[in-house]
Amino acid sequence: MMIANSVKRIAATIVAAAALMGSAAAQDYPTEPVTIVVPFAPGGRVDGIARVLAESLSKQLGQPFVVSNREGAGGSVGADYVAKAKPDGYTLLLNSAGTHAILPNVDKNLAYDSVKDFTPIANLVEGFTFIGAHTSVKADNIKELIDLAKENPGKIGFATSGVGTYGHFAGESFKIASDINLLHVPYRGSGPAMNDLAAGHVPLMIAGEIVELAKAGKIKILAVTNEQRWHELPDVPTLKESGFPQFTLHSWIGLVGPAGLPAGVVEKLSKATETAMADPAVQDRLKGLGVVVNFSSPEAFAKRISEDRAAYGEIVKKAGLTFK
Amino acid sequence: MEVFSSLYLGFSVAVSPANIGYCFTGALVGTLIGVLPGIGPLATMAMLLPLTFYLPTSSALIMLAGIYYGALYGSSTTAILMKVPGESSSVVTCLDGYVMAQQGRAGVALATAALASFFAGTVATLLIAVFGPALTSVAQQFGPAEYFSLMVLGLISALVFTQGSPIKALAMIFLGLLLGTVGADINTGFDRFTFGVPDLRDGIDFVAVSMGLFGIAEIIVNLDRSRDRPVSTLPISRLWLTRQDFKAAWPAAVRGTGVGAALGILPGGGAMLGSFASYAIEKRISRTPDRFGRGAIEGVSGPEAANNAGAQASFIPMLSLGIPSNAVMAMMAGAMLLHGIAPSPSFAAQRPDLFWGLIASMWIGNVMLLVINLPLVGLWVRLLRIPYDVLFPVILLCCCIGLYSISHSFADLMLLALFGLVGVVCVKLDCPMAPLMLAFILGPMMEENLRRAMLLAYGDVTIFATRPLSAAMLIACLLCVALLLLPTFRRVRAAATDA
Repeated sequence: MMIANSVKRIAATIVAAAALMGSAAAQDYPTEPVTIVVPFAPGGRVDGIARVLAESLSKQLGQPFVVSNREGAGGSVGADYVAKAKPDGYTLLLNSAGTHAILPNVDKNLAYDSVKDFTPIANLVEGFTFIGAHTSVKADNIKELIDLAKENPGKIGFATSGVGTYGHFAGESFKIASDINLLHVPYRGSGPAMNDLAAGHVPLMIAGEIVELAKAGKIKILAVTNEQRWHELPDVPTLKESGFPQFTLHSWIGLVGPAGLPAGVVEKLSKATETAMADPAVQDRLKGLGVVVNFSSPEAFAKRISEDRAAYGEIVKKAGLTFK
Repeated sequence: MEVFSSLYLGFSVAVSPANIGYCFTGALVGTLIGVLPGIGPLATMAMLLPLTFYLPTSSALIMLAGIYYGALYGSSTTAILMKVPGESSSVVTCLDGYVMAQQGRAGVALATAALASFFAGTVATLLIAVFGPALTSVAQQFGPAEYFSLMVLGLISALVFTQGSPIKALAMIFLGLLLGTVGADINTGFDRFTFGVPDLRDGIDFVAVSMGLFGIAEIIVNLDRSRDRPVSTLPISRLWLTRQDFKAAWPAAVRGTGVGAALGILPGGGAMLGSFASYAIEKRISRTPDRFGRGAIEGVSGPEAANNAGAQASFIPMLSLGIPSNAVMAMMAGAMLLHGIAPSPSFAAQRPDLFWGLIASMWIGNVMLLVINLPLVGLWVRLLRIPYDVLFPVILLCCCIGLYSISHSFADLMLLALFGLVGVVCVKLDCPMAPLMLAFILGPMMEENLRRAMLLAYGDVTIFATRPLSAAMLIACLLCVALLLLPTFRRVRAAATDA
C-alpha cells in the first residue's frame, strides 16, 4: 500500500511539474518547427491556404511552420492523424467543413470526433461555391432553373467533385429548399467535372473552381451559395437573394490542434493568425484561391464547427443520404 | 504558327538549369538501366516515383520521360555489342546489329542506332507538338460514353498487341480491373473490398502496386536466374558511317519513324511493336532480303528509329486525351496524379508550361543521349560489371523508404511486399504484367465513365452505340478481336513472341 501510495504521489508530482513546464512552454512556444497537416493533396485550395498561412506564421513566430500533406479518405486520414497527435502545439491541422461537419455525418467508421478530439484555434476563410450552368441550358437565373427542373423532374444533372463534398451538400440542400429533383452526377475531383460542364455533357455544376470557366465565357453562373456576392462577379446574386433566405451553409477552412492544447498556445496562435489574415498581401493571395478572409476567435470557431455539424446532419436526414 | 510560340514556351521551361539537370539525370539513369538486362524502364520509373514527389512537377515528368527513352537507347547498345537486348524493344536490333559487330562494324552499328533514334525522336517530338493540341480539341467532344468506349478499345488492343498467350493477357486485364474496384465507390461513397482498412479507402496505392509488380518482382526473379552475365564484348572500331552506309540506312530510318509513330499512337501500342513491324517491312521491300540477319544496316536503322518514334508517340494519347495507352504511360499518369494534376484533355490548355516543357525536353533529351551514348559506349559496357549483390539490396531498400516517404502508411509497405509476390508468380506463370497495370489504371476511369454515361442517359444502354464516336470505337474493338482470331495475324504474332 505504502509503495502504491508513494507511486501515486510521485506520479502526481510529475503531472504537476509537467503542467508547470507546459505553461512555461506556452510562453516560449514555439521552440522548434511546427507541422501544419493538410489532409488533402498538394496543389488544391486548402493546400494553398496552408502555405500562405505557414509563411506568415513562420515570419511572426520565428520558427518554421512546415506544411505536410496527409491526404486520403476525403481528408479523414490527415484529420485523424492530428486528433491522435500530442497536444503540444507542434502538430496542427488545416480543417474544413468537409472534415469536421460533413464526414462526421456520413462516415460511420470515422475514427475521430470532430468536436471532442480537437482544440479550435481560428476560422481562417470562407470558400466560395457557385451554381453554374452550361450556356445551352435554358435558364439564366435560379427561378428559371427551378421552372426547368419542375418540367423535367430528376432529369437535369448537376456535377460535383464527389460524394460528400460541399458542392454535393449545397446541391442537396438546394433541392430540399426549392422542392425540385435534380440528378447528382459525382466526379473524381473538379477537373474532369469541369471538362464535361464546359463541353455540355452535364448541364449543371456546383463547385468553387467553375468561376474560371465563367470568366472564360464557357458557362454561366446562376447563383452564389455563400452569404455575400463574389467580388469578380458583382452581378450574380446569392441564393439568399434568389428567394432562399434560409439557405445558410458554410464552407469554411480553419486551424485546429489536438484536444487539450494549452490555452497559452491557442492564444498565441490565434493572435498570430489574426495578424496574418489582416495582412493585405495575404488577403490578395487568398482571393486568388477563391476564398475570402473570415477570421474568428477560438470560441466562435468552436461554435461554428458544432452548429454546422448539426446542420449538415439535418440535410443528410432530409435528403435521405446514406453512405459509408 | 502557334506551334512555334508554344514550342518556344516549352524550351524556355525545359532549358532551365534545373530541368536540364533532371533531363540529363533521367536520360543517364535510363541508359544505365537500359544497359543492365533485367531491370526495365517500368521498374526504374516505379522506384523513382517517390523521389519525384519532392521535385517540381515539370522536373518530375521530364526526368521520368528521360528514363523511358534513355532505356531504349541503352538497350540497343548491349543488343549490338553482346546480343543481350536490355528491353524487348531492341530484340530485333540484335538480329543484324550483333552480326555487324561480329564483322568488325560495331561502331558503325552503334552510330546507326543512335542517329536513327535521334532522327526518329526529333520527328516524333514535332508530331506530338502538332497532333497533341489537335487531338485535344477533338477530345473536348468526348463525353462519358466516348471515354468508356475508348478505354475498352485501349484494353482490347493491349490484349491484341501483348506478346504471349492472349488468354493469359485477358486474365491479367480482368485481375487489374478487379484490383481497380477496391476503395470507396465514387457514386455512393460506400467502401468496397476495403475490409475495414482505412488505407484502402482511396483504392490500392498505385505506387505500391507498380513498385511491387515491376520493381520488387523483377529483382526476385533475377535472383532466381543464373548469375553469370556476358562480359566479353566485341571491340568497337570506327564510329562513323561511310557514304554508302548512310545511303542504305536513312530511307529505312524514315520508314521506321513513320511505322513506329503510327503504331505508337494506338492504344496499347508503344516501342516494341514498331520495331518488329519495321524490320518486317524492311526485309520485305529490300531487293536483297537475304542480307537481313547477316549484318544489313537497314535492319538496325529501321527498327531503332521505329522503337524511339513509338515510345515518344505513345505520349500523345496520354497528354491530349488523358488516357495512358501502355504501362509506361500509366506510370507517367500516376506521377502526374501524385502532383495533383489529373491527366485530361484540358491538361495542355491549363498547364501549357508542363505540356510544352515536357515535349521540348524530349528533344533536348535526345540530343543528350546522342552525346551520352556515342563517346561513352565503352563506359556503359563496363557498367555490366557492377555486382548485383550490391545493386539489389540497395534498390530494395530505396523502394521501401521511397514508398513510406510518400504515404506514411505501413499498409502500403505490406501491399508492396504482397504485389512483389504477385509479380513473381505472374512471371513464373508467363503472365504479362503490363496489361494488368494498364487495366488497374484504366479500370476505375472506365467504371466511372460507364456509370456516369448510364446516369446521364437515364439507364439507356444504347447510348454507347448511338453516339457516333463511341460507336466507331466499339466497332474498332470488334475489328481488333477479329484480327486476333485471324490465322495469319496469329502466326505473325507468334513469330514476334519467339524472336
